Amino acid sequence: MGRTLKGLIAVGLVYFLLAGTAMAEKVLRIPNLEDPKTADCQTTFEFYMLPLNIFDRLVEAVTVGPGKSELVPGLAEKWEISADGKIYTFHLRKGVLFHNGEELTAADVVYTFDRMLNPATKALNTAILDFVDGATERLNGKADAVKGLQAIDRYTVRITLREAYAPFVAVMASPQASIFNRKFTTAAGGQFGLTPETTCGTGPFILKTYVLNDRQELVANDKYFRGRPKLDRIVVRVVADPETLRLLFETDELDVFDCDYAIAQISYFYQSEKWKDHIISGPRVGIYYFSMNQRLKPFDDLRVRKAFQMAIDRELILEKQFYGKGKIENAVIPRGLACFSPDGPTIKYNPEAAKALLAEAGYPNGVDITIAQVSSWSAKWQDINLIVQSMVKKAGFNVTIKQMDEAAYYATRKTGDVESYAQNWAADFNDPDNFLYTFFSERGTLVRSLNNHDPAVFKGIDDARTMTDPTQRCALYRQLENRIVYEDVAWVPLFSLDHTYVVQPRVKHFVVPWNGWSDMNYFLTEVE
Amino acid sequence: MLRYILHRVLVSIPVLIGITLLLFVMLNVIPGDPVALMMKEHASPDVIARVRTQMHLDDPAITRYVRFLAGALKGDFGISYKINRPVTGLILEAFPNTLILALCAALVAWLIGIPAGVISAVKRQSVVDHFLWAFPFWASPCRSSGRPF
Repeated sequence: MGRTLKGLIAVGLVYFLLAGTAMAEKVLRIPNLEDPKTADCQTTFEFYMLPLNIFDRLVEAVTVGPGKSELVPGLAEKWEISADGKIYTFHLRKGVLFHNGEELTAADVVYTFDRMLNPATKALNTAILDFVDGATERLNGKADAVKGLQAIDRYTVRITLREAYAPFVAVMASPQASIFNRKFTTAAGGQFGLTPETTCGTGPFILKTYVLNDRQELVANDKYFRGRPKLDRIVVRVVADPETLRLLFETDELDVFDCDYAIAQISYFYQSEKWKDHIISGPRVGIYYFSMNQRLKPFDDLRVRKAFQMAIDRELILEKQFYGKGKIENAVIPRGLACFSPDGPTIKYNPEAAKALLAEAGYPNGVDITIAQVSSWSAKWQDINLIVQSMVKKAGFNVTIKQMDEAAYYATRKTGDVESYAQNWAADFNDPDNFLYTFFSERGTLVRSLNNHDPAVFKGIDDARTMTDPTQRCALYRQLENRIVYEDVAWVPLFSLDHTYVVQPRVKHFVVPWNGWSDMNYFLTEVE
Repeated sequence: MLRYILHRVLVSIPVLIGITLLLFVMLNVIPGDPVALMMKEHASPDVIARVRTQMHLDDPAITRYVRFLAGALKGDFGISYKINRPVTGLILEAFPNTLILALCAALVAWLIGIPAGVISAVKRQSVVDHFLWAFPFWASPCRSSGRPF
């Protein structure tokens, strides 16, 4: 054989080997604008992609259709609820292994929830365990253990609540309720979730690489209890600039483009011959709204609030700003959430009636209001505020948009002092409690600067939490929504939006999660 | 020379204390609550109050400042609220690159600056001297505005 031929064969072999491995490996490359900071879902609210893929929960909320979810067994293969709705008994699946090789036991579950309530953890997500008996005592440092958390045997956990709490099973499916390994997590201490070496779960993927502000890589867990995932690897790239993300996507450096990062690009993709057939869109279970602070003038006057509701042309914002990809909302519970009612009363855009109401309230020449806006947030908010500013002028509202630093904004808002702001809220778990309690309970109404101090609403929301009959509960929520939006006129519902993605043709089984989050579980996703 | 170095080191101590104190006061005066910022949309008054206590944010300002100084002297700058990691580790991670960058910049400055200074001194009042005197004035705003020259 001549040297040239040998050389050619060698080169060919190397090429084949390299190309072969590259082709064989199924990699999904996804973007994120920011670093998730940690995989420890007890100490963060912001990013759940890592927890959703590295850990499992006792119960899982799976997407069964656009905006539709179902609660299915997760680490618990079944559970029982006592007749009074206070005792939950979870029977764990046997033989589930953590990434470190240990088998999941009831002690791990008890440890995980106890860790959340242990003051040393400084956890932020404690609200999901508010109803557990003895949670408050543990949080305040008055007890060394949580009375309501018990491992009955190796595979049985009993959770006792101090009062019935209807959404408890749904809450157990939220990413915050992910289950950790006792031995591993204790050893990792404060480093848990920050590096691959100090992160361990039972989930379909294992954290392999974590470079702060650059990338995270996850690899398939061969021993996953539902079977090995179809993907070999997930690469999350942190790129702060949406335009760069789009370029990376179009040059095939990324498999998924999340249009949330660049709303202005949606029309481009819908018009593109190349991409229009690769758009995947689904409803987001969440609601955009404007707040009105009843403690401050002029929103202390119900007529002014009513006028503000009528002065905003929501259809126009949805059409102009979001390419019509969503639905107008008229209450608190958005489409897709349990107890949603499509046939309630609606708010009609009517600037003339709004102007008359303002005059009646003593502002015949118009009224000044201030809308707070966080300077570091995406341009979307600026756009909404500017449109509303010019829109409501017709009804006599003179809007000043006040730019605020994020830290100052949240500090001012939590003391109930922000006059008005636009914001959205997406479901953590599929229950109205996640919306009504968050905004209109006695605690929520202050911290969100709504200050709708309506004792009937407070009582109704508290009652609904402990009700066990679903039909009665939904009926009560409907009454509460009516009272809040149409009698108290406590906020301005805007719309719920679709979440639009564009994916490379090779990506299969990419499903927008029921709640419409950017963070999702990739167990079923495939690449060709 | 040794005395000079010692003098400079001693002078830098009150300067460092002054800077930290000034920054500490500024951060305490401007509005903002780190826990509210960590919780963002999920803010709940009870959790904010509890975590503030757990993080010792409700301690008197002087106690917190002294605690910070004591930690800083031992090389412990506390934990970043924003990214949940020890600040010292983050600095150490970035420091080698910063050092390389600074050394390279210094090297370039010395290689150009010292010969240029010598030439200027030898050829006083010449065109070259005037050019070398004026060039940095023109170049430095170009550098800081990021425009190439």
